[in-house]
Amino acid sequence: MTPAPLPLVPPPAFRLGAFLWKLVLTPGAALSGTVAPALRAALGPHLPPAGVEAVLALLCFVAMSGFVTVTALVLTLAERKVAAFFQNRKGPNRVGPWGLLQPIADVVKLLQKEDTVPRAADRPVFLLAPFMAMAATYMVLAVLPFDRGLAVTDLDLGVLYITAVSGLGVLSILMAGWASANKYSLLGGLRSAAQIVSYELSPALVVLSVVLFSGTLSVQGIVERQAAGWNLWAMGPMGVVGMLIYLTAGTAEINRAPFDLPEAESELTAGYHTEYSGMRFSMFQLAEFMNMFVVAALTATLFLGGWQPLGPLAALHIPGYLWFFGKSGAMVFVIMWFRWTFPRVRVDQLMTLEWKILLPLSFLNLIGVALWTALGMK
Amino acid sequence: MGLREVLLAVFAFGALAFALAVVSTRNTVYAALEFVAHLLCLAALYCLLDAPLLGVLQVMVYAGAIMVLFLFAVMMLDIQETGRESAFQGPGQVAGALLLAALLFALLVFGADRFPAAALAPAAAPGAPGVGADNVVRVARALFERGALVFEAVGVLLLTAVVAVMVMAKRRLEN
Repeated sequence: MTPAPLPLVPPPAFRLGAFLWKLVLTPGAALSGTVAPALRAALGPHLPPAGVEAVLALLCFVAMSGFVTVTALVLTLAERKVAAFFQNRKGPNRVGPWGLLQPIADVVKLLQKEDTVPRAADRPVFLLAPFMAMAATYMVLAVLPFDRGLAVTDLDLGVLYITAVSGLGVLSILMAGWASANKYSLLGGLRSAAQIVSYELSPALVVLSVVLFSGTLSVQGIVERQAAGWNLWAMGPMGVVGMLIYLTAGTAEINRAPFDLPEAESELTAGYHTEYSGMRFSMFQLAEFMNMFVVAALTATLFLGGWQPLGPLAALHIPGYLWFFGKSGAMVFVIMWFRWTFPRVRVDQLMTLEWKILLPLSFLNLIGVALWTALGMK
Repeated sequence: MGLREVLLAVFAFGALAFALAVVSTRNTVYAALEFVAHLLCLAALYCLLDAPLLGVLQVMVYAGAIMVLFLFAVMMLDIQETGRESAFQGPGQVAGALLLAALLFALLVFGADRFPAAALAPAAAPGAPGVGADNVVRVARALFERGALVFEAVGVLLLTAVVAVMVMAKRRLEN
């Protein structure tokens, strides 16, 4: 009788360390390969299958809420610091070291403000509008690819889904503008509707050209196809033109300066959110910041290779999510740069830009990409 | 009962409730918003029934574009004051509506029995990965292979309509 060999099980502390290391390097594989099966196995005996999936979905929602909170805090500070940089001043520098705690102070200020509803306002719609804005933003976040395998879900129709749900945000602006019972708010809401419906067209065409080139509608699939070369140059001249169209029209779609006509303070007080205060106002603000991040992240995903490293730098084994956040951060900086470089356009200039310049250009771009793909240039 | 069945029931009843709300609300803006909610419920139903392409297009075209333009017009005209009277007038209308609804329901129930089961069977297991991508390919084949001629004809028709609208709008501006 031979003695049973000692089982080669590493001590728990070592296994925890290895898991944490994996979580840092490849969070997608760690979460979907280790954490999700473990949770399913732990919950399985206690809940029906529907319940298990519901709990996992809820956990994803909580994680995304944490992500939204942190991103919004970083972006509010970045917005003020970048503005200060362009105007040659210091920006927030009193709360915490280098003003780093300023966003926390802002949140405390907003939290204790009174939540007012105008007497003439349409109460249910007025109260619902900020939630609608947040819901539309959250729906886009569900397919954002942070790293290989790291997304709430990877839909087969991912890109189409993004185009569809990002159009829902305008409903919240219309609701807020109308329910406020205020002519400035209504004008802001109506301007926004005209603007967003117009500026949905050229980004959709640019996305279509990327889909044509990649041969897939899945967001993760589009990133995977950029392993050899980012779409920015893999698509030839059409990549550069497409990215410029997408970034310009994206900035207009999220109502940011120089296209911030729905809230032009010199003409409309604050546009659709004039009557909002406290937390409801900050929900609009939060949605706006997250939309800016989403446009930046999608530009990075569609044209700059998402979480893919830059050619020779792949040897450094930098985790994919750092690439993703680095590229998205650079695009956020460009969008903020727009704001302090271009004066606000007029309504007619805005419409001319989309219908007479960007839209024909994106049609030509689509034809160019179709020819490029048909000639086998990928 | 899986998550799928629960969600199907939730969105089916949601779609019905919002549809009823659309026709019974006096406020035009409310009715438009309820119609958006109804369309979103329908889109969710399409996705649950393995037609995700239809669901996404429903959100993109109807909820995201057409209803936004509709709301735009309704809000601009501010026609709150017109629809003061209830949508349903008198017991006759209510009875008629109920009768029609019952007839339609009976038709659906008995009609569903006669429908060949093979036509309803999904190509892949419901909810299986890849159903969405397959969905796009199959719709594309139906549109561009079997229905290519009709598809092109509809495209020309729509283009004609767009040009006609522009000509008419232009003439009105000049007068």
